[in-house]
Amino acid sequence: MRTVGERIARPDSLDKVQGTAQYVDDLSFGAMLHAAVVRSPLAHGRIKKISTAAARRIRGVHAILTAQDIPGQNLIPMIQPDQPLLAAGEVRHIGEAVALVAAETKSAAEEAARAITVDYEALPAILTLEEGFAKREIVQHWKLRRGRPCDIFSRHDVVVVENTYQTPYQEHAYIETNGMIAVPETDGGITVYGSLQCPFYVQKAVASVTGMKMNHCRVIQTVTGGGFGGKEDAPGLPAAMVALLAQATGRPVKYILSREEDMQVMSKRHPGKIVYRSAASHDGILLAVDVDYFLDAGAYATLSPVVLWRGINHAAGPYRCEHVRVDAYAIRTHKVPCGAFRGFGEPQIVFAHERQMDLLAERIGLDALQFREKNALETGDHTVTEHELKESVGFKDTIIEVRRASNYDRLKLEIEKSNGARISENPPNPKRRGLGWGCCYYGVGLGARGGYLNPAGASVVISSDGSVNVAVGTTEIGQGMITVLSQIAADALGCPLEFIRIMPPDTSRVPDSGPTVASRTTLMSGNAIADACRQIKSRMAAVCADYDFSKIIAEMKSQAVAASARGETHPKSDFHRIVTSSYTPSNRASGHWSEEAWLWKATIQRCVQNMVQLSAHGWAVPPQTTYDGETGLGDVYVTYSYSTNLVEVEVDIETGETTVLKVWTAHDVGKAINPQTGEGQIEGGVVQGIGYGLLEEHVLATDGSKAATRKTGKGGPFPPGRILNDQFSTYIIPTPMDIPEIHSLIVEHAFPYGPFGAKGLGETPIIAVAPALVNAIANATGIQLREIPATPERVWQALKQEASRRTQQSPRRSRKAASAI
Amino acid sequence: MTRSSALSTTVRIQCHVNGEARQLEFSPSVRLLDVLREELHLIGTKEGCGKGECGACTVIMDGRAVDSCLVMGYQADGSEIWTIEGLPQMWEMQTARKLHPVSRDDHEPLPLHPLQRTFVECGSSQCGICIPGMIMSSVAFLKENPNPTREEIRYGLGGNLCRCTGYVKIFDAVEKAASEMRAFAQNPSQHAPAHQRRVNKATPRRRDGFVASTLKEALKILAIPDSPTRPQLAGGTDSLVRAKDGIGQPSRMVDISRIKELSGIKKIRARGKRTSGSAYPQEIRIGAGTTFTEVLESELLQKYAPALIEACAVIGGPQIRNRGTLGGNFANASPAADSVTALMSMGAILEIASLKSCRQVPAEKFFLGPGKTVLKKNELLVAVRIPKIPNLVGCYLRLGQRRAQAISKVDVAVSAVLKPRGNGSSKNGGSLFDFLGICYGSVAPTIFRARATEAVLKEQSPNPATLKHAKETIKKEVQPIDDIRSTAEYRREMSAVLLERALRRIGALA
Repeated sequence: MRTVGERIARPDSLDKVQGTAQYVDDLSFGAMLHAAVVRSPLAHGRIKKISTAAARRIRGVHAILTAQDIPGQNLIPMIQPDQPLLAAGEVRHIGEAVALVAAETKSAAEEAARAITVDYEALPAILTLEEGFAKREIVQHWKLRRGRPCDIFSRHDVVVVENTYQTPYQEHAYIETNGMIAVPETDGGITVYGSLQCPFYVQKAVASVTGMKMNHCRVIQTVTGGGFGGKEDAPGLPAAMVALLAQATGRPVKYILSREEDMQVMSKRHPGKIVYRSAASHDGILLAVDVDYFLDAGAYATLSPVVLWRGINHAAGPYRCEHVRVDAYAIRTHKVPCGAFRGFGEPQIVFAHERQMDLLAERIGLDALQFREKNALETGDHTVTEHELKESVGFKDTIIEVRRASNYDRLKLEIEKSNGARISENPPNPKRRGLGWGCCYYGVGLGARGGYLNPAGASVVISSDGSVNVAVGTTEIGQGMITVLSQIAADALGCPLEFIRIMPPDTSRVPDSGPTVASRTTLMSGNAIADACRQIKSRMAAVCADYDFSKIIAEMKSQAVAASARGETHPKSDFHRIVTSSYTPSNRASGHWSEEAWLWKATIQRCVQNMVQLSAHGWAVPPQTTYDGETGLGDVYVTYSYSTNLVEVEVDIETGETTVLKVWTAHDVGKAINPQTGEGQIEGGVVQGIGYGLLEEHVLATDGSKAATRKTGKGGPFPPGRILNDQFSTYIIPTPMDIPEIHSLIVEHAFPYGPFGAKGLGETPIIAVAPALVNAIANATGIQLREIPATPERVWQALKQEASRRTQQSPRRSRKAASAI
Repeated sequence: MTRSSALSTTVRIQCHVNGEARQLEFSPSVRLLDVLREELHLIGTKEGCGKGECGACTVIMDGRAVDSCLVMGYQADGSEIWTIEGLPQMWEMQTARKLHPVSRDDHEPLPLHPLQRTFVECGSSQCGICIPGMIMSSVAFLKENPNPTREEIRYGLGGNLCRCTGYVKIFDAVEKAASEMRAFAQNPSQHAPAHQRRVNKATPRRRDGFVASTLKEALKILAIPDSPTRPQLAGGTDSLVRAKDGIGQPSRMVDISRIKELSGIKKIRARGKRTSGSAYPQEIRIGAGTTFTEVLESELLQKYAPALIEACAVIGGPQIRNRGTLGGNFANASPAADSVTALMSMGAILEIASLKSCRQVPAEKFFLGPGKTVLKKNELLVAVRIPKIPNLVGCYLRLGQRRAQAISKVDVAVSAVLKPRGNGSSKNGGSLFDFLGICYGSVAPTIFRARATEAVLKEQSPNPATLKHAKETIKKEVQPIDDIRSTAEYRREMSAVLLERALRRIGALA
């Protein structure tokens, strides 16, 4: 029975609803110590002296380590290895680690950390992107050159729109903060357990600082309470810290970050600035874009070069555009290093291009949807990097689906009418409704710059009772990997789902399979599993083809019935009793198992008797991608997922408050292996996108005096560059009361290389929501925001400016507008 | 944590956890969350923030959802506590239906509460870290409201954050479970009253100085000069959050939430002439330990304190409303204390006691600045009294950063008695109001009564010019600042917008 495409319940959810799932903070080991970290209070400074004597005297303290105590390299290995684990000589951002403590209790460790005094000499700090660019603090510069954009912009018969856009920091706000435990092994190795997305990154970080061989650094992922990119590279830091402390003390060491610490020091979405100029013909053809794209990388490069690279590859959106100039820069500042976050450099630039599309449409006099449809990428078209799209281009269908589901044409008229009626109400109703579109595409997987990280491995081992262990190197972080890969394994082997178990990721079990990022897990681990299953299946076929299993099955059944009579029970898990009621109705008469299950068990029994190797390692390498560093052109990704969002908002024009009423969101995912987990990804991404568009930003202390007035309820004043909102009451994410009605729509344009046609879905849901919201606010009120989040304060300011602009332009019209308001 | 040798190093309590009687001994500085996780190894209760902001640590304590990170371990003495691990047991008790951990029959019920099962079936968990808290909150509000609308589900889960799911499938699961649970409830033969029987609360006793069980006991501690401990811990929704930031030590706080004299909402005869408006013969006395939820459930207050009801309904999320108290809202002296704005608009009087004396202070005169009040070191806020005003209308409006778990950027409470229409006054001159109280929060160092604005509205006849004048007046009366929630300019303008909306809501504008 095929499970791919079915709404199978998640196998990992049973532990989660019972409270038995073990996250890293739920684990403890004998004689375990607790860690605390001394962190820099300054954005930039020279370390003059570190005094640890007082701290060493505190009872229960076992180790205090600074940069000089690191046995290996004081370096976190990344693209441009520039980040030390512990600051040596110089601190480059607030919260940078300076010293580590391990003690018997958490409170003793924290007390000791407070007792360590560090003398700093403050140095001038670069706190803005603009200042960093002016000082040429450039971590990375990418170029994209296609066609002759200058020629287009100098023409007189084109419509040109130019704007500068700003996007904020975004916090991953996973509900489980980062945390790690390192356990020393008897053979001198170290095993690290923790909340993480990429076990192999963590393994490299641990090996680098401890100076141990990689095979002595074993990393096991514990159940992980959310990642969203925030647990991609960043967990390497806490992991390396506990590993060093475990190495120094010979005891297990645990370190769980507090919420405030996590928000202050762990990675975030890069703040962005985009100077965007677009040109279109009067009949609505997008002709050229000319873009300068800046990301604030923070103090260290971490993943910024590749975050930026993904942004530039999608610079013009899912549209045909033949003349392109983009320069993209990641700028070094003295702030917390930014890194991966769902969307990975796309949400910033997509906000810009999707605002531009609306503004161009308005200038041309086309409906925002029509303009997009006219330019939408289709099979045979070329992307902005001149990648010819030969297959699996479902973009237009996502537009069609949203248009159909929302009844767009009627809804648009209805909203215009209702806004008109509200103006004439007495007293006038201050609420205005509006619709906004946002579209994007997303290159699945790491692409041409992924290099050796691109492949993925899998190990499949079948036991003699037919049960199957599947080990992969990618991780379940809530997105549904376990479910989807179980389905792929079950269908690839042709066995019932209940026989599959996906093992917790462990670096000693599978080869480096790259990171769990870039919406690549279903595609890459899925293909690796399929590869392993193909090998086993062909061996099985050698002894099972044309074999009549009815005799074996009858025998096995009678044994089962006899065992049952003796009171023996079948090892069928609670989970399968829940899910199988809608999946494979069990057959009690035949001793519990379904006919399909009996056949599988019989097959395995025959293979075992014939000494067939029932295990295999699978390996998946994606199709060739290309990239030219000079022009930025090439077939940069293996394929693309596409998405279209339509949002309906209601804006209160007196208070500037925006309420999101409805969202229609369609995604071409190739093939939804499990529509239920697919919808879960879409709904979650959309709500994160609403946070990005309307609520979320970090407020940083700018200078001492202003910091004093920016009251946080926690005292102050705070040093320049410090994040002022570092908890859930001040960093505002959507609550259950802030979410709209969400209509998730799945479009399937199969990708031939993908497992069962699947592409990737993890990221498209968040990417184009913010521009859709701001476009809807524009549609409702006429204001054109160029900055997110669209907080009530920003909307209200813009409304005020718009009103005064109108007053200046036409006194008569403004009186009318005023009375309307 | 350093401990004064004068203080005990452990505290002993009795409580019921998941239906089982427990005697526990632990450090006075640990929270209920730590007791559950570390003493009882009930790891299903998760810590997401430690400040009552995410709801991951939600458990049910004496029938209500609470954030276990904002309850000190010693405050659980005598309580009945349920965690995610106890839900199958709870459901067995409710339905008198045995759940089989290991079953040979697919048709026998699984060892799961219906909510646990529907969360699996609907695909409601992703990373899963918030899920135990989500389920516990759902259990708690479904008990009060077994047939909730989608909107009521959102409100009931307002204190729980999830970052993965977008909440949609969580709502689906709650809806589905609710309908299954109703089906059971409709069949009384299957309904066992076992769990309804309150576990007898242990009589509050002196717990090594951590719990004050009578007002006198609390006042006695306060009377000791330089006492190492302070009776200040009620709901913990402010004091324990501050303690997490390093301000105050929980092991030096004394729990006052069990003091009978601080609870209760009742009608009393007015004592003496009031400072504002005319005297009313009756008053309502609300104990300072009254929680926001208790306010919301009081029929008396629903009738006579409309602004207070609206204010309490939007405070925090359910867990915060179940623990936070009116007294705490006053004593914390935050400029953004929602219930204070409402109570002050009704001309509330505060009863303040010390061991030797008792005094009354109008709410308006209680605050000296942010975090500062007239309370002396030896005094405790005992009760809030409001006049029982016939025909009082009122409303409370606020702007926050989101719709639940929000701190106000600006909020207004208006309480008023409107003169009967057609009594001559409203046409030319004369007031529309027999009583008018307008208070603002979050737009000045303290919550304040907008006397100048009230005067404009009371002295001038109700017409558009008066409204305009009042709006201009309030913009001058507020003293807002820029902070991380909003800007001074926005707050100033919104004070006027909310004034007009509030007056319209109570029917004071044509």
